[in-house]
This record gives sequence, structure tokens and C-alpha cells, in this order.
Amino acid sequence: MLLILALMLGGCCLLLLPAAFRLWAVLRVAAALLMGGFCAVGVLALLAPEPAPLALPLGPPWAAALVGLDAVSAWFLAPLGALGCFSALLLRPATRTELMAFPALLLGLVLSAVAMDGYTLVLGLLVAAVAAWAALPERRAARLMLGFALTGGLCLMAGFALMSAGAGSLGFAALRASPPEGWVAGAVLVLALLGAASLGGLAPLHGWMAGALSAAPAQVAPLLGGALPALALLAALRVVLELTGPAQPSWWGVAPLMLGGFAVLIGGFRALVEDGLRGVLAGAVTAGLGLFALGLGLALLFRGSDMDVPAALALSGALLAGVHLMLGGGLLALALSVVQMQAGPVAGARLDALGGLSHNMPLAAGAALVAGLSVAALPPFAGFAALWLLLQGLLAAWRTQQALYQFAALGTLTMLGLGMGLLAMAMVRLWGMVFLGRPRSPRVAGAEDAPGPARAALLFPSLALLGLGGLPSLAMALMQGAVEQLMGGPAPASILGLAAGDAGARYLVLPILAVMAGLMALLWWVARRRAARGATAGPAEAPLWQGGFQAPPPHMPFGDPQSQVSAEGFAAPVLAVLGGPLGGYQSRVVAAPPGSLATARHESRWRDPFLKGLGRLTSLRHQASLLAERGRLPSPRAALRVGFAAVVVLLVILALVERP
Amino acid sequence: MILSITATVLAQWLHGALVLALAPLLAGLLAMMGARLRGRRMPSVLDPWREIWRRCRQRPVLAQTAGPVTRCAPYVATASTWLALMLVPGFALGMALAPVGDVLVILGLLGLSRAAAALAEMDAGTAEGGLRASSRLSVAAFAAPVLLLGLLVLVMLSGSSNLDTIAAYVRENPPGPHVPLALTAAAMLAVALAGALGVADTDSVPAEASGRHLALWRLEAAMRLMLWLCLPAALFLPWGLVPADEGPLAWLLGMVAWLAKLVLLAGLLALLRGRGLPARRPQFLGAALLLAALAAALMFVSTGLA
Repeated sequence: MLLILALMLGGCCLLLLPAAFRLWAVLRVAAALLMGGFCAVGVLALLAPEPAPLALPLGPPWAAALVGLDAVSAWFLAPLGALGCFSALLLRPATRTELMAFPALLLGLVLSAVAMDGYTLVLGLLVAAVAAWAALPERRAARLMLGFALTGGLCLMAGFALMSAGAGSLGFAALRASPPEGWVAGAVLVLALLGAASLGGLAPLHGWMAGALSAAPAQVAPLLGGALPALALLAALRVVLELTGPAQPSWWGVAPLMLGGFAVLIGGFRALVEDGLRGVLAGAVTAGLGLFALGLGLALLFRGSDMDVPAALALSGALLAGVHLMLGGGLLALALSVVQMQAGPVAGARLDALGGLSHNMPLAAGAALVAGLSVAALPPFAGFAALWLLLQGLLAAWRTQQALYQFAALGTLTMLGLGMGLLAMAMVRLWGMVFLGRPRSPRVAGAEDAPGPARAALLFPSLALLGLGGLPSLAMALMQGAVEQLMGGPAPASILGLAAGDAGARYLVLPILAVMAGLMALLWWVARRRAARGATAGPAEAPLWQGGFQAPPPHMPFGDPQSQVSAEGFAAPVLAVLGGPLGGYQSRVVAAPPGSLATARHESRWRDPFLKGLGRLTSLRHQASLLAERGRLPSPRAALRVGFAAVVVLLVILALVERP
Repeated sequence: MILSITATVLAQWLHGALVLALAPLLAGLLAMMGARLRGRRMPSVLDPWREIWRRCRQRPVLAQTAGPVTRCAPYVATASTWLALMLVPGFALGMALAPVGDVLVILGLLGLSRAAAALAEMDAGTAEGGLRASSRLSVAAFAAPVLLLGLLVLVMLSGSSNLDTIAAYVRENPPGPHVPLALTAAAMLAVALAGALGVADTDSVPAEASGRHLALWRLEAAMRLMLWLCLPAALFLPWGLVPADEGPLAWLLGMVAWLAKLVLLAGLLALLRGRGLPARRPQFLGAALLLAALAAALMFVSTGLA
């Protein structure tokens, strides 16, 4: 199977050929098939993992790149393959740079998922980041993203270098055999977290994500929003949970725990205040990544306190949250990409220009609804299963009997509750404003549903997400190997749903679904029977009463968009309370000057306070990035050059580290 | 064995039917008490039921811009609130669905029903609908951390997030002067009141709904009101709950206690509504959050010393 994997990685490189000749249709089919193959390999490896790594003919002879399919890799490779396959279906004619960037992005992501040594892992993440950078038409956002990604890559690489100084090799097996101690271990923790946060967009280092996602082409956004953050955090998870050995202290968990809770809060808030589709997506991704990090922190905390059962529980919550970030966040990105392709400008479509799309685009509406409700963590969708596991872990954190951890869990619980509430509100706002109500612009009124292959890209991931929500115990059974590999103990599960601890807390999704379906059928039957005795026909239709607004002019057949709720107006109750502290939000009403007939205007602005603070901190790195960018068009050659330079730098580091 | 299983299933069905029947009556009772406190003529307790039954026969009228969401949402919302209410112990502990009755699941089901209601509000595309959806959801977002912290205290006490287990624990360990539990009770009661007061407003159903959809929405609102009264009754006044497999006579006893608790809480709610207490809900919920955090901190200290 590993040989097949290696051959398919080679095939990924071959995909650059059709891209170079701009044969986009060939690229679409070939990439979809190849990524489907990766998904199949991932599923097979979940059933029968092959942890012994295979050396690729890549890299220096004394440290060839290693790939392998252990249970953790397989758990992430399967959804990554599926997401890549569906993203490929959204490919359309594009510039050569954009087309060539796509296979490179896929290659980088897959490589980082199956890497079995530190060098390959970081290389994969950086290749993916550079490819995404090349694909973004908006250079400013791309530069910002590249800056964060390179910083993250360097941090991760430095962490691996520190570890390998003791182990003598960058291979995972060697690293596991000689875990770091003392200050080295602490430095590795900080570097791994910093690297993953910067590469993946964990708050407060999430400033690049909204801009990069807004600019990303349709096929890149799901991978950049769903896969890259999850895989970046997977790198940190591998480092702090697996490679540094099981003997690390429990205070290691406090930082990821608090960071995760903070990211959920900031992500939920951001999703609620952004007015662009992709901006909302970026907020949801940050929150999803926060859940993943939170689970990682909990697992570390419990493991250090010798509480194996809650540790396995929290870890399985983290792994489920990671895969849900890929599938749920990815499906949301896919659906929004389709909306933008069909109904609005691909870059920068705004909530205030859309509306009423559920009538024209039922498939996209259904997919976005499934993804949105799942991201908002409502039962019986997959996001709720992950959140339930994590909450059970948080509710058990007081058993560690240490005031620091107890108060950390208390703070995290508060941030998590508020953040998930805001995220649910943001998802309802997103779906309601895009798919419900009346069209707010003529182009939206004439939009059509997803064309041919894009339909498959919406339908199948929706079904997968629904399946994951309905059968979380199946997911738990599949991730058993990963949990055992990382933690050494199995996670508890029952066939009907999830279970936590021995005190009988359960999330039994199948009985819930069954009873709810029964109740719905009963209500429907009673209402029908009662109706059958009176007026029998279905609902009647009547013109909409517009709430007292004056009749719209004739060039607005769907009414004045101003007579519907706006994106900012929907968020107003939250902005009034949290807008200032969390987002630097300011608003005022500007009255027209005396004598003028103009109406008063409501002006508001907000700026990401974290990005502003970082801007000051990182002006040096920004200058370097500018230097690298100057005088260069985003051509394939440019992309290759940056990628090559990164490889050379990493090789030099490697050579220095490996020197006998 | 088989007998006791049959009994728990029967108790569950009875409970489900009872909450369905009692919810509109409770809404009627609240309206009656409110009118009495304001010195107006009292409406009949049966009014909400009469209206629901009458509306059920009417044909719904949909706005031309409305779509399938308006048609499906009332069923989804009502069923999920009903299920949440069925999971809260009323007269008996250990009913058939007791293993399902996790507090987080109940909160999730309420969230699902709230999302369905908010989407139904937004479906037709009126300004008012959007703003009402927004206020509905924002109150829930501010209430979520309070509920989670309150749940933390209860989990620390009873060891589980299962509602039945918590109620059984509180019943068997009479909480005397227990400061954290009292603080938690105050915080969760505040949330419940904020929630119930929101429900008890006349405009708690989607503005565009009509016909049998409106009947379902009214039923849903009544059930949500009842849930916010049942939840504190089960968590903090779990006396009078009987084991579900003890048979009909015991059930009858439990029902009497349950009704007494509900009437008591409804009276409290009517009094508070008359005073217009939580006018500024975010601030009110912020105070509740402080109470809950204080309760959790006290619990940490006491478990640390123990």
C-alpha cells in the first residue's frame, strides 16, 4: 500500500503537466481521481495501518524523505483525499499559475499528512502554503499569508531541529525513541504551538485568514480553509503528544487549552461581524481550529495527571474536531464557492448583496445548511458530537485537583460557551441572509444551481457529513487506532452513540433521531388530519407585507434591499456588548448638515486588533517578505523559486543538524 | 424485569403526553395570573389550547417569497422542543429515555429549535423577521456560558451531566446550606427566567406564521416556557420524583408534586414579569455569569480542601 501511496504522490507531481499546458478539464478529472484514490488508501489504512515508513527518493541520501500510513495519518488522509477530490471538481479555466498551483497544493497537503519525518512534514506544509500563495490573485493578502506560513514553518523546523539534536535523526521513530528533556522540551512545545498557530491560523495569529480566503479561487478555498489549518495543527499534535514522549508534565496542556478556547471565542465573533462570505468562513475555521487545539490541550492535561480515560476521551474529541474541520469547514467552503461562482463575484461576495438563493440553488442551499448547522454544533450533526466529547472533557477537568487547571478549564468553558453561541448565530445569519429572504441584487435573482460536476462536490460531502453525525460511534471505532497510537488507551463508545466516563453521561444519537422523527411524523399527521376536516388544500400564497416600507420602485422587482435586515444589523445586539472589547468596533450616526436634504448615515468600522498589534511586531519580517516579493509577477517560475529557496534553506538546516 | 421496562416505557409515554397537554395550560395559567396581578379580567386557562386547536384547522398563508423553510421549520422546532421536554424528568425518575437525557443534549435540542425558528423568521425577507431572529439568537449566545458553568457545578456535585443522575443526587443529598448550589440555582434560575420571559412575550412566534404553522409555533412556545420551568424544578426541587417502575399509584403522587412545583414557579414568573425585572438581558445574563463563576470557584476551593 505504501508503494501505491508513493506512486500516487508521483502522480500528483505529474498533474503539473496538464496544468502547465492549461488543460484544465484533464487536470480536473485526473486530480479528482487521484485524490479519490488517496481517500481510498486512507480508509484502507484506517482498517489496516502500515506504520513502517517508506523512504522516498527525495532529499539527501543520509536522510531520505519518509512517508508512512500509521493510524493518525490515515485518519486525516481519508477526509483530505475526499476534500481534495471535491475541490478539484470546482476547477474552471484559469491562468497557468492558478492551475499549476492546485496540484502543488494537493501534493503539499498529502505529503504533510503522510510524512514520517519532521523534514517532510514541514516541507509538505510549506509547499502547500507557497502553492496557495501563488494561487491568490490578491497580492497583499497572499504576502501576509506567506509571511505567517514561513514564520510557522521556521518555528516547526526549529522545533524539529531541537528534538533531533538529541535523537540524531528527524525520523519520527528516532524522535520517539529519545524524547527531549528540560528546557529543550519546553522550547519544543512553544515552537510547535507557535508554528502550528501561525501556519494554521489559530487566534491570535489568525489575521491572514480572512483576507487570504476572500481572495482564494473557488477550488483553493476549501483546502486553504479546511485542510491546511487542520494539518498544521496535526503537526503540533504529533510533536507534543507523540514525538516528545508520554512523560511530559501536565502544564503543557494549559497553553493549547486556553488558546483553543480563545480561538473559539474570537472565531465566533469574527464570523458574526465579517460581512463577506469568505470572511464568515474564516471565522468558522478559526473556531473549528480552536476546538481542535482545545482537545489537544485537554488530552495533554489529563495525560500528565495520569487520568487515562478522560485523556482518551478528550483526544478522540480533538481528532473528531480536526476531521470535522476538514469535512464541515470544507463543505461550507465548497458551498460558498459554488454560490460565489454562480451568483456573485468570486472574490469578495458580500452578504448584503445576496439573498433568496434557496429558490434557485436548492442543492447549494441544502449543502450549506448541513455544513452550517454542523459547524454551529447543533444535534444531530457531526459538529455536536465533537463538541460534546470536548465539553465532557472540560467538565471533568476539575478532577485534576490543581487550581491552575481548574481555573483554566473554567475560563475555557466560558469562552467556549460564548464562542459557540456566537458561531451558531453567525451560521444562521450566513445561511439566512444568503439563501432566505428576497434577492438583494439582480444578479442573484438570476443565479442558477451548481453545474454538472460541482453537484457531486456538494452532494457527496453533505452525505458524508450527515453520516458522520448520525454514526459518531463508527467514527470512534475508526479512530481507535489513532487514539491508541497517541495515548495508549482505547476511547469508550457504544453502538448507539457516544459515552463519557463511568457516571453515565451519554450522547445517544440514534435514539434521539428515532424519537424525533417519530414526534415529527406524529405532529404532521395530527395537523393533516385536523386540516382534512376543514380547509383541505395546502398553504395558500399571498404577496409579502413589507412591514410598512413604501412600495419599491419598478426597477426593483424584489423590493428594496434596504427593507431587509443587513449583515451588520443582524449582529448589532452582539456588537453593542462585545464589539468594542473584542474587535475594536466603533459606530456613529452622521446627521446631514442643516439645510441638506440627505438622510442621516450610520457609519461603522472595526479593525482586527490582533493584526494591528502584530503589524508593529513583525515589521521586520514584513520587510523581508516585501523584498522577496519585489519586482516579481506571480508566475510559476516565481512560485517554484520561492519553494526551491525554502527547500534549500531547510536542507541547510538539516545538514547542520545531521552533521556527525 | 420485563414489567419494570414496560413501566418505564409507559411512564415515558405518559410524560410525553402530559407535557403536550400541560404546556398550553401552563401558558394559560401564566396569562391568567398576569392579568390578576395587573387587576384585569382573567382570561380562561383553556384559551391557548382553544386557539391552537382552532388554528390547526386553518389553512396557512405563505408570503410569495417564502420557501420550504417556512413549511418545515415548525415541525422540526416543535418536535425538538418536545423531545427536549420529554428528557426532563417531570413526575418520575428513570423513564425509558433517561439514558438519553444529557443536559448538553437538551441544550443542543433547544438550540436546534431556536435555529429553526430564526430561519423561519428570516424566510420571507422582512426587516422585522431578521431583527427578531437576531435578538432571539443573541440572548441564547449570552446565556450559553452561564448554563455551561452551572452545569459544571452540578457535574462536580453529582459526577455526571445526565439530568436523571443529577436530580437523583440532589434528592438524596439534601443540600442544606450549600453555597455553590444556591449560587448555581440563582444563576440558572436567572437564565431560565430570561428564557421564559422571552418565551412568554406575545411575539415569541414567527411573525409571518399562520394557520396550522402558527398553531405549531404556539405549541412550541408553550413547551419552551414549560421546559424553562421544568428544568429548575427537576434540578433544584427534585422532591416528589418517584422511580418510574413503581407503578401508577406512585406516579400519581409524583404528578401532584410536579404540578405543585410548576404552579409555584409559574407564580414566581408571573410576579417577576409584573415587575419587568430583566429588561436589559445581556447585563442580567452577565450578572448570572458572575454568580455561576463564583459558584464554580467555590466548588474548586472546597474540593481542593477536601
